[in-house]
Amino acid sequence: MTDSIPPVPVTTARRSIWDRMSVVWLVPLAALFIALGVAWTAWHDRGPLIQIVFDDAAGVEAGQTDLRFRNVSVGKVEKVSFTENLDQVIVNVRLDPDVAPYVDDSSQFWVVRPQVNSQGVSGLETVLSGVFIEGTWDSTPGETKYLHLGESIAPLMPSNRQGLRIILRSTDGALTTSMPLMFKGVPIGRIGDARVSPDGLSVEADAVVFAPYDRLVRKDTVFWDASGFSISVGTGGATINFASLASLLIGGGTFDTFVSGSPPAEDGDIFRIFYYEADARASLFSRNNAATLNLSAVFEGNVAGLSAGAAVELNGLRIGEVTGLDGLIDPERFGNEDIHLITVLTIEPNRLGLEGDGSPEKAQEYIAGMIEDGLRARLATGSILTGGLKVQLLEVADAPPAVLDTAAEPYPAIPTAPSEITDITATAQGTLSRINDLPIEELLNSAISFMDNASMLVGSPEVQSVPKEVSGLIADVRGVVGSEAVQAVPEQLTAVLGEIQGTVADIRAMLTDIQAQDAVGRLLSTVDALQVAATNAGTALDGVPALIERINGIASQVEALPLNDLVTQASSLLSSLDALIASEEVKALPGNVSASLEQLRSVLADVQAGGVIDNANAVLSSARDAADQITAVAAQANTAMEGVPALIDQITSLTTKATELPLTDLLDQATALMASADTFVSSDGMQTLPADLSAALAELQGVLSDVRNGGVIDNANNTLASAAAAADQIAAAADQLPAMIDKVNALLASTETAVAGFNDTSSVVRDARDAMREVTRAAEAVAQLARTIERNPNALIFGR
Amino acid sequence: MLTARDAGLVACTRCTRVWPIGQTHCDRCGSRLESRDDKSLSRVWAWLAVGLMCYIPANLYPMLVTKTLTSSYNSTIVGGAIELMHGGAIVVALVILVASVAIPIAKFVCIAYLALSVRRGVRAAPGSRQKMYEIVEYIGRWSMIDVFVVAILSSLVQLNVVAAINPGPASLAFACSVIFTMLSAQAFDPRLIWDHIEADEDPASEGAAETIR
Repeated sequence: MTDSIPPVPVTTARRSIWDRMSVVWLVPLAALFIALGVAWTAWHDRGPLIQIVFDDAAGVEAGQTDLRFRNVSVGKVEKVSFTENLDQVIVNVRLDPDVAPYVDDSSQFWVVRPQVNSQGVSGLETVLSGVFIEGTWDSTPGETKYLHLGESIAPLMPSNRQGLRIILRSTDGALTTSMPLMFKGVPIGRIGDARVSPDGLSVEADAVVFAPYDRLVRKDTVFWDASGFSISVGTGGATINFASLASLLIGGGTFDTFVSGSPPAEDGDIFRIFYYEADARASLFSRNNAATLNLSAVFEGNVAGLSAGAAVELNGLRIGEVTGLDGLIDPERFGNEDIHLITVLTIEPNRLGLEGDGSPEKAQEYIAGMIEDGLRARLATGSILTGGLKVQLLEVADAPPAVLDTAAEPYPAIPTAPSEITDITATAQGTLSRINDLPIEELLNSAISFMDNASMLVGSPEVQSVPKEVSGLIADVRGVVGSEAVQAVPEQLTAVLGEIQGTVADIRAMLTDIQAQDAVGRLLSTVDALQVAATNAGTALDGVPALIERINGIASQVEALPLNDLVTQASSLLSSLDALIASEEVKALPGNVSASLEQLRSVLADVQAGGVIDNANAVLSSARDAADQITAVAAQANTAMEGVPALIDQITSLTTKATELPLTDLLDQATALMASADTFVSSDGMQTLPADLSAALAELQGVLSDVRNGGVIDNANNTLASAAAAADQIAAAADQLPAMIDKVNALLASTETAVAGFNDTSSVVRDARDAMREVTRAAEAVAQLARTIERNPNALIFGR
Repeated sequence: MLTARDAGLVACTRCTRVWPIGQTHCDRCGSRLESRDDKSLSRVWAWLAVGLMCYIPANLYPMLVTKTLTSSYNSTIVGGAIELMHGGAIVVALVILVASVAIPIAKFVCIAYLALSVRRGVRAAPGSRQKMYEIVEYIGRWSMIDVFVVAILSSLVQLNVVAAINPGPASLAFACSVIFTMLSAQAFDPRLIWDHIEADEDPASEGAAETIR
């Protein structure tokens, strides 16, 4: 605090509250007013709180669930609590003040939940929105009621609708669940859920008929179940009846009034509802709704076949029916613990034809009196066909005395007599019991297990995939079948078959030909003969060297002979020989041989030209053998030929010796002979012989190769024919041989003649004779060969 | 200790120019000059009252209205936090509780304490009270985080019938409460905190302090 600072002028705080208060205070004040206003409004507009008692409040939530009237929310559930003993649920609902006056005694409340049943779907909106409480009340305001009993289901008749409330009663199951009540197919009311009547003998249900159709229901109206359908078969044919498709599906009751002038029905009237329209019509005449008398009867033994609805007859007159059938065990009453069957007999007193009003009491008195006179109830066969039973009330003559037991429960008991049931029932029962004994359960079990297995099998993926695979297979097969190649198969097949047919025909013709000509046999025999011929030829040729030896021996012996005469003879012989050689026949011999070979060649050419047989492989091998044989023959022929030079040498030495002889003529003759021989040897035919032979062999080789290369059977015949021709040719050629042999014979004869000049008895002559015989034998062998060849030309080919 | 007021000076709160105490307006920036805002406490209490009034419906009414296909669900601040806690999201629930319950209430308490402490002597040091004031003023704006969450959720989840989140009445009330609380905190003149020191140090001037009241 320094003096330099002037004292602060402090003003006295004497200001009003407004100076001290900020304007800002207006804000909380405004907020306060607003809050108070809102709160007061909320409280003021709040409606009354009512309580609704439900057995079950599933889905009802405090603060969520609405109370609705005509589907408009008129309140909200505020609290859900229990009654004191927790038996029921109390739902506290805050009502809208507008509707509060209407919520009076007429109000009904129920919880709307989604429902799906035979009559359709209802309350679907609650699936999304949650359940709500539906209320209904009439349109007249009254005093608000604060405690209500909620319905468990929607009431049949809402409070805001007018109509008739009646009760329907059924003993035969016509009533089950709630269903529409229809009149000529038009729904005009509802039948509620059925309940069992207090006495347990029938089923009752509330029903409503909405205005203005309620006037259709009269006192004498009959009701029946219109659901389902009925089939009747009669002389007029078969008919099937049902009311409508809707009633067929969901059921429904219907009614009609067949009697006119009946007063209108009133609320609370009880009507009976029948299962069939015919029953309902028939009931008209029994005035079923009149009071009835209920009696009970206890039957012992089997009452199978007795059913509700069975007739109760008094001396043959139907006076009522069986309405109940119950088992009862009452040791005190019956003295044993067996089960007894109590039958309730509902008797219609007006059927008894009693005087007056026909009340049940009078009917009971009347029956009681008759019982004292011996009236008894007994079971009798009602229908032989079905085995159904009926109850007969009839007087039994020697019945023990009895009275109507009025104290019996549930109804006065009428004494019974033993039953009179036709045997057919027993028989039928026997049959039925036999049917009963059938192992149906085992059968069914087996069937079920079989079905299971079958379904497992069918359901297995393998089997499931079978159709697909099969279809795939079929598709593949279709593709294959559809391919052009397969499509062309039939044509090709036809062509092939045609060819086969032609081939078979050819084969048949060929076989026929072969058969006809016995070609094979001929072929075989020919080959055999040819082989024999070749063998013989070989044997024959074997003897040629020996022959030459002998000739040599002869020559040497001739040499050793005193040759003077001999030379002369030889000279003449030689000259004869010369003459012989010079003769045209000898000269023609080579030509003939050549021609023969030419013929052979042509034959072979024919054989070659004729083709070969494919299937004659054995034949071909035999032919090869034959060729080998021929080759061997040729070789032997060569060997034989080799002996010829030796012979010529011998002859030359002989000639030389002869030359040494002072025999100029002889020499000249020999020279001439030599020249002739030379001429012979150098003749064209002789020179061409080897070439012809080789050509023939070449031909044969070609033939064989052709044969080896295969051919056609068809030509076997030609071949055989050619072979035959060849054989003919060979035969013709062989024909030449005898001529040649004749020539040789002639030569030998000349020689013999010449030699005959020698000493017949000398050994030389003998030897010469022997030699000649040998030559003759050889010639015969050749002749035999020729004959053999002639007989079996094919032996030449087959070597046999 | 010499204060500006004792020295006969007053500082401009806008441009901090110091003037003699008699000056009513700052010649430099033109703002009004007051040595002490004598209506400050009144304003503080007024705003605080409105803030408190708004805070009550903010907790009673639903903050979020969640509509799904089948149901509509209201959640208050505390109810939502408890539900989250039951759902296992304890951390989130704690954040909500702290941001929406603890901090606003703490603000109310702090402001009321500060306002009271100016008028009555308290033991707490003025320094710590000044710090408390600064904290309250700083933290005030963060209380709006709840309102922002509601706004974001409402704009994000709008799937028409299937699912929708709408702000409940509590969100508006809560926003108002926060706003008013902030105004209340701003209305407080922190210079008042220090005035008592002088009174404490100089008992002679107590009378002067009384007159200011």
